[in-house]
Amino acid sequence: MTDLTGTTAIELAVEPAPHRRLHPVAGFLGWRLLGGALTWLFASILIFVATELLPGNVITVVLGRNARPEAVAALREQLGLNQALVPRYLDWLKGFVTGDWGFSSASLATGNPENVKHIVATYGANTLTLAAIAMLILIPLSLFLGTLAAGRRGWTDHTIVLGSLIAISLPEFVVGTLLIVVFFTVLNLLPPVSLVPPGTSALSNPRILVLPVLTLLLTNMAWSTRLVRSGTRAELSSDYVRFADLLGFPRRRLVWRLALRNGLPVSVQAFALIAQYMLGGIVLTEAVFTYPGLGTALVNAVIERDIPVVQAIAMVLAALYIVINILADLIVLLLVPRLRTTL
Amino acid sequence: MTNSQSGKFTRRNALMRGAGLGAGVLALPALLDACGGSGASSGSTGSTAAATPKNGGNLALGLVGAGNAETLSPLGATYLPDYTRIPALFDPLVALADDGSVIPALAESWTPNKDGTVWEIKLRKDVTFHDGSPLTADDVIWTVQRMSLPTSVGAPFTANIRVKELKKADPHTVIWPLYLANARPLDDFVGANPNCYIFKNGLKDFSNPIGTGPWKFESFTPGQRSVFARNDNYWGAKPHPAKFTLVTSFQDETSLGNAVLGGQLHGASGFSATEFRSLKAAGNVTTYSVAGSQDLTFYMRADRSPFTDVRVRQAMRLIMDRQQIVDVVMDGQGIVLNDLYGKGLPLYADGIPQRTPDIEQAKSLLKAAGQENLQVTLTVGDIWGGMTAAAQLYAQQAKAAGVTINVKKILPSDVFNPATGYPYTFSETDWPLSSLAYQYGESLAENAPFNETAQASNTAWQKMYVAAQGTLDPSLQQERWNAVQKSLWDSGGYIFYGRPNTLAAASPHVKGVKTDTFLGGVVGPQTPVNGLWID
Repeated sequence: MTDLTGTTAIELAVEPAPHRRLHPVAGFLGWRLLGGALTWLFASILIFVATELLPGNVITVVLGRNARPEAVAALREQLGLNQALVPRYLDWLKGFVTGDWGFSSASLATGNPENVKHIVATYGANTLTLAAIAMLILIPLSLFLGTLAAGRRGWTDHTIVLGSLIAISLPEFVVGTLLIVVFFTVLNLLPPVSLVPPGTSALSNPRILVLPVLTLLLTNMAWSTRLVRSGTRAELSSDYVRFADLLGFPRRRLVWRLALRNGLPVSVQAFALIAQYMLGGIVLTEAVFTYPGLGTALVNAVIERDIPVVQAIAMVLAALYIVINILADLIVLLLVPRLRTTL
Repeated sequence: MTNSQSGKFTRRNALMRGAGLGAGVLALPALLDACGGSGASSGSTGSTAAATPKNGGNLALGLVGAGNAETLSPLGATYLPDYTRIPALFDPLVALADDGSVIPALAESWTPNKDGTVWEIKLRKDVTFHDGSPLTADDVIWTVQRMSLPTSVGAPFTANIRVKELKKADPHTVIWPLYLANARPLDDFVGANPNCYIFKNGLKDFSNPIGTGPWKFESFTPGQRSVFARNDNYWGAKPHPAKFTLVTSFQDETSLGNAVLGGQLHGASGFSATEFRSLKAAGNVTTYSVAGSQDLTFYMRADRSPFTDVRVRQAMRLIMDRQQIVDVVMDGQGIVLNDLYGKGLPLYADGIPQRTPDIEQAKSLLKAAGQENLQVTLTVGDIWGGMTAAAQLYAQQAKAAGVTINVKKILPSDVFNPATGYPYTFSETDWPLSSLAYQYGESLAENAPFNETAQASNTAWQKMYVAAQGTLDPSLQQERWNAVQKSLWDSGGYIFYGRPNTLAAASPHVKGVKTDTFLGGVVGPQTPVNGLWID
């Protein structure tokens, strides 16, 4: 009998049973994690150098007119900016991996030291909440709409495609602003600004999450829906599906259980990219709704040349990106057993 | 993203040092009536005369924020949110009253020795810190010592004080010795200036800010919000709301305005003329256009060609149509200035006639100086939203006199950056209202840290200036200061052109907003908050 994922039983039988070898998936994970750690280290160097290359320093930027030469000189010393690049980087790296993320330079320059870990945790929690909610809705909805569009040509397909085309063409902040106009200015149903008091969770006032989530869905779902759609359609026209069709499989099963599942790998990567984007890239959405997320914190820190904060956020995001990539590859591996044999 | 009316750089507006106009309200007893509320007020009824204040509630106000640079330390205060929080928690030695005059706050009286080089400052005896301990001379001395550290933003204000010789004559009297004689030694310590507020002896860590102010610290997250509670043991007029929350997580004025419209804030301030218009049109908030607190100016370096010739400087001033700039760039919401800083403040020479444009005179001056068809570069960064527009309008006006001004845009963060050339040959800047001593000390005096017009090398003027500062006799003092300013008006390098109104919006339930005083508005430099209540 043909294994419907494409590997025949004969092929499986011929494969020698592995003795005393690491399970391929475990091996894969091991290598990827090692590679991830190295990537992370490399990223830390790149981030450090890039921020250093930015003109200006935190003191002159933050103090502006108040940055008198004596103040700048004294604060440079205090903030350790006079140290050479490499020792400074190593000091920072050592602190980072041991959990000491230091203080925000901008806050040190103005006399109110803020712990970087605390800053990242506060903004990070908000970002994770928003991203999680958005992804929890986006994934099933994209799968459903994409497959629906692929399975039924005609009006359903056209509507979904057209809708996604429109959504893709509108920039994030335009969508967000339009939603505010509709739901606040006109209907007065939802708050126009999504403030999250520090120390509270974004979930304690769910109404403020509705519009940002809606904005993220509208701008990202279009893309993932289209990818699910094209992936599923490609599978639908492949040989084994045609064969199954000839064998009398019901249409619904062909579409939802065969084509969708096998067309998933590309979509998984798309979901991964979207998840990564939602973690660190949604600065404009955050700005439109004044939502205190990591993107905002990062941009502000870059503008202020607040290197400890930039480093910390960038490292956290890099780690999350790497983990998401590994997870995505793992899921694809689990979806496509053929790949496991080539590991 | 360099449009500073929205987007990240709006925080640079905060660098306008807010209208640090001082804690006049702190020193005034009881309630303030709104003095008719006309003048600059607009929108629906702003009149609050004879209304009875209600106590209680959590007054939530908002400003565009400054991220992690926000602070509760007077030693590092730089941004508008700081200008609002520090006067809430702490008090200054002296304050600016509604009419701009300097009145006692923590300092009850101050008397000089014969030549004005040593002053005796008597402090109020009924002031306690938030932790219950009394205010004494030690706290003042400690504060000034910390201010004088090189890392402190307020160090220039202690430059003339012999800090090491500060001592207390008794628990409530500070002996205040100076290097140079000064008739008004506390002008730099006026409440308009957040860097001079008095904190508790020994305080170094401002995560627990112990002050004497009308509000007590509860919580603070920089770039997000602060929550303060009313100080029921305050020595001055106690605030009405039980709590005061200042939200500063806004990146731009649009979301700030939305928060007011949506009822998530009771009020906010710092809007541009455009946003102000749409808030007015919305109809469900009260809008306020009150006297502003930063003087906008161009500056010319008198030590750089072509501005070494006084005739060129005079010509550049005569070319400008200040009223047009106010009308066009500020939407008419502002006042015209007369090439001098500090209109309305003590010592200001208001007898000097307002300069008006005179293209013919400008042309003949340029011709006499051999600079017909002059070409200059004007370096501009949008530290206040309309600066580039003002520069471009000025360039247009200059064409009539045959002068070509090339406007060169730079990043707001480079406006004060020596690495990129500050002070530039010809540029634009703003000066927050505080005192003449403040601006002259920062930019005109001999060892001024920001020698924007090269006035430091004008020895004749420096002599006049030092003499005026040391003149104890009040009538002679004003006469000499008038002469000092006349000289600047005739041949200086600043072209002060306008003071934009502070534009604010608030829920109709917010009462007590002062609209025609020096310290008006909803939120911003401190004072307004203390007189507000929620209906």
